[in-house]
Amino acid sequence: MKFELPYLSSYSWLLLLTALLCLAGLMNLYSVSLLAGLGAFKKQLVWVFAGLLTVAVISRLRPHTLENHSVTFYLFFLALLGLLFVFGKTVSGSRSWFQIGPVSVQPSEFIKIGIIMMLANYYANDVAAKENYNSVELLKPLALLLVPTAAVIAQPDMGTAITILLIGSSIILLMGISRKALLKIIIIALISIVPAWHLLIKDYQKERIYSFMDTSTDPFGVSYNSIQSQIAIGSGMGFGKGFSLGSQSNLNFLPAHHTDFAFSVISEEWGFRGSVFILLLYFSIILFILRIATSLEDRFAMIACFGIAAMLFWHAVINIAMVTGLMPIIGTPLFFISYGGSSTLTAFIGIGIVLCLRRK
Amino acid sequence: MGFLKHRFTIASSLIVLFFVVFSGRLFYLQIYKGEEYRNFSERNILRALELPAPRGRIFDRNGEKILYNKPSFNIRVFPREITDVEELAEKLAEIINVPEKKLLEKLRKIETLQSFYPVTIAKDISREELLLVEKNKETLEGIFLEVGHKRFYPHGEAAAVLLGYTGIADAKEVRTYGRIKAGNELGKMGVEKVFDSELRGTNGLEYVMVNAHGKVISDSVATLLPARKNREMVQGKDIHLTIDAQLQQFAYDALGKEKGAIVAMDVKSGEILAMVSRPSYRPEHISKELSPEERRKTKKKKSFSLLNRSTQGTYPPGSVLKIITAFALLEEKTADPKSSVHCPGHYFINKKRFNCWREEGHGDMNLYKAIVESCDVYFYKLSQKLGVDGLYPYMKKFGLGERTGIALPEKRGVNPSKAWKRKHLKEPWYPGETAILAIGQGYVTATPLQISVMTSAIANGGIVVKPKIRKTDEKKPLRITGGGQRLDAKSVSFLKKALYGAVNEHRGTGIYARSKITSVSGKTGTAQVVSAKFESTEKRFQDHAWFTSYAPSDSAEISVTVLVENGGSGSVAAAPIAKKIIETYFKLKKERDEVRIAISE
Repeated sequence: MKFELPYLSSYSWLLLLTALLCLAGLMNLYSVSLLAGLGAFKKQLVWVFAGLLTVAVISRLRPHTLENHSVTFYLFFLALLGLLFVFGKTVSGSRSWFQIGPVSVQPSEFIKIGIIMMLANYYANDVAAKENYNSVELLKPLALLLVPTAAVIAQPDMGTAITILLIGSSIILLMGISRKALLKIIIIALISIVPAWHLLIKDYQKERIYSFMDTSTDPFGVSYNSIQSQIAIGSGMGFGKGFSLGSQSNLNFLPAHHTDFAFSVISEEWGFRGSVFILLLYFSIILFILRIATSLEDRFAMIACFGIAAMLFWHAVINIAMVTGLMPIIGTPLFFISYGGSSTLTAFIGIGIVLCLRRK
Repeated sequence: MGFLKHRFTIASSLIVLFFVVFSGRLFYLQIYKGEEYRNFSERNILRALELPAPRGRIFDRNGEKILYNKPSFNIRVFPREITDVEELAEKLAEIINVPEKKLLEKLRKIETLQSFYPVTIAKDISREELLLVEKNKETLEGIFLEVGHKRFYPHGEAAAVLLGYTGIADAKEVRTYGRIKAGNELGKMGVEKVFDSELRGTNGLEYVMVNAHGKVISDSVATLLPARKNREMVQGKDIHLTIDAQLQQFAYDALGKEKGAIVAMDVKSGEILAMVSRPSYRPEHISKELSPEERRKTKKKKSFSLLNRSTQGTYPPGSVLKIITAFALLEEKTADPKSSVHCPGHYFINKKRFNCWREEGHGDMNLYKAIVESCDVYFYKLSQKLGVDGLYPYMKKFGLGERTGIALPEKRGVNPSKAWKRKHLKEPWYPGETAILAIGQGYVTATPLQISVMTSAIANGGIVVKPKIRKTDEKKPLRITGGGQRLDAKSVSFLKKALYGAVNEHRGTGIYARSKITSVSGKTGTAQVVSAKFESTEKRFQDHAWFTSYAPSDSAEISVTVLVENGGSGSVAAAPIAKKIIETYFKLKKERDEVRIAISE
């Protein structure tokens, strides 16, 4: 796809749109925090500054440095994932966090970047550069993807695991899979579900997954949230209820309104104009990253940028489908809009990488 | 690397596709279904709490409270917040003294309302029930307690029929009165109904916000929903009646176990001092919420009646009507008061025998004596000259067959004439019917209040006053409609003498009303319920006993009319009661004067 933008480069557009989205997210968080206290807003402000700093640092790195350290990056976060089982803090049933002083870190967010870099590195250094890969050739990239995914499933954190799988699969699909290999992967996946279910996942985790998946067993859990979210979005109507006047979120009908359901709050308070504006910003950013990716000559840079675009894309798709009631609720944040240190930093790192690699 | 470019194009198209899908979904939720969700979100958070306005109090003429409010606790429910009707009914049935089946039925109906206005499911619960509900509040979905106002009647049955009662407005009443909502309380009978619009007041309305846990966050209403305004509660207005509560109570007790009615009234102003109807009912039997079946059962009880016999009971007036007949005879110059008629105990009209109540006869009777001794033959004979249409306008002048205009539901009774009979019975008038009409039998019927107005008109010197139940500052008595001129003074003063005689002369029929405290004038009446030929000792076939009177005889203040249903002779059954009430009136007056003097000194 070709874009003709006369005055600004894709790079400038990307920066501008990201800044706008980031501001909208902060404003929304401020609105939600007015009644509950500004604690979350202040924390997020710190995270955004940290994120901007990260962007500044990463975008100034030499692209080669990034490529050379991608394996280190991947292994580092994979190790952290492993360490979670020893030192991890359990929050609402999932062992996904490290508590370092006042800061909680969620390695499963950062591993997304690790996987993107690792897969880009693998495919870039594959001299053959085929159109499609057969099953044997796919063993390595699949392993690179599935090992961290398994670690996340074991936490258990289904939402994150699903996004990780989707991001990795997007890269693998972009690079091509032969029909035979695709068939084999599907068959193996189907067969492995049963033993994986019995061996890897403990009973209490299964229960959690059941209730997570099946809305009918827990009407006041998952489906209740989905309904309240749809009420929040719908009640915003065309022009919204106004800044900080979202009754659904302010009165706690809407759960997790500053994290996973932040988009619902925007939709409630700003109406259709606000929700579509955010949607437009988000998808434009993704398209710009994709455009930058296609313009790059270097294979590593192109694949990594594509991976970052895929990461933003799948997060947006899952989150918005979830809050608008098109999909069951699985906890996935909307980058730049949802509150959360690790996910915000991950998104900024992604932007930083794109800005760094575009110079290649 | 062309295939990669191709794949990028596919990816870009996919992104655009998802953008379109999501925008469509948002359009559907926010624009297409937006209003629905907006309503839903408001109901989600909004509870409209009604603060019931206490009804106005009712005072008697001396400032005594005769109807006021006591706090009561009601269980109410928010229809929209019920999730499981069966479970709620089961839980409630364990706590309060209402069968589960009944609760379930009620809750099912309430649930369909889906309103965010609460509905009452149990009124005036006991202290024990109150504590249990309070304790189990968390598990009772949508249930809350309301501090309401329960009507309290210090005089119980004695004033119940007059004061009436309130109830929950039904659909028809909501349509008629407009300003009330279903479930609101309004006056259904008696004074409560007549002055309802003043007594009722305006219920307050308070919108409160609740969070997902039903917890009230009241102070954020204004900011989140500026369109929803609270409404101040306005108390109902107090009403002052002309009733004397102590006289009312005394009169009620004076009737004893008999059925009947008593009206005591200020003869000049028309103010009702006491208005009694028996049987009455215990107010608490009405205010408690009864099922239609229970209500039917209660109504069947002999000791239960909602009817105000003073204004809604119509009876043949019997001999008390002779006051009007005599007045007509005088006015029409049909009778010369000096000339006399012989009473042998019976009189023939067209070979039909009409008996006097005194079988052996009264001997020679003039008009004065005929009233004092209540001779029937005298009136039989002279009524033939007067004719029914000669009597009709005088009956009308005294207010018979017309509403008195009191602010209470009342019946008109019947003031018959030739035209009336043609119209209603499609028959001509027979002369014999004039004879029995002249002594207050036959087609004529009147309410005790109408008789009271008639007697007051004689007592006050000829003014047919409009009876009043509500105390106003107006001093001028209101004349009744239909002429409205003062009755002829000469005829009135003749009747006054005769009515004094009826009580105070040796042969008077009203001697049992004679008092040592004051001078009493009056007229007895014994109205046949069935034909005289029908001999029966059964109570319901006994005559109605009337006595209508006033005192003091020369400067009348009060008129007292007593009707005892199936009481027998007016002289024996009704006159003594009237005397007691008159005496009590003067005793109370003296006591109050003494207190007033003591205070002023």
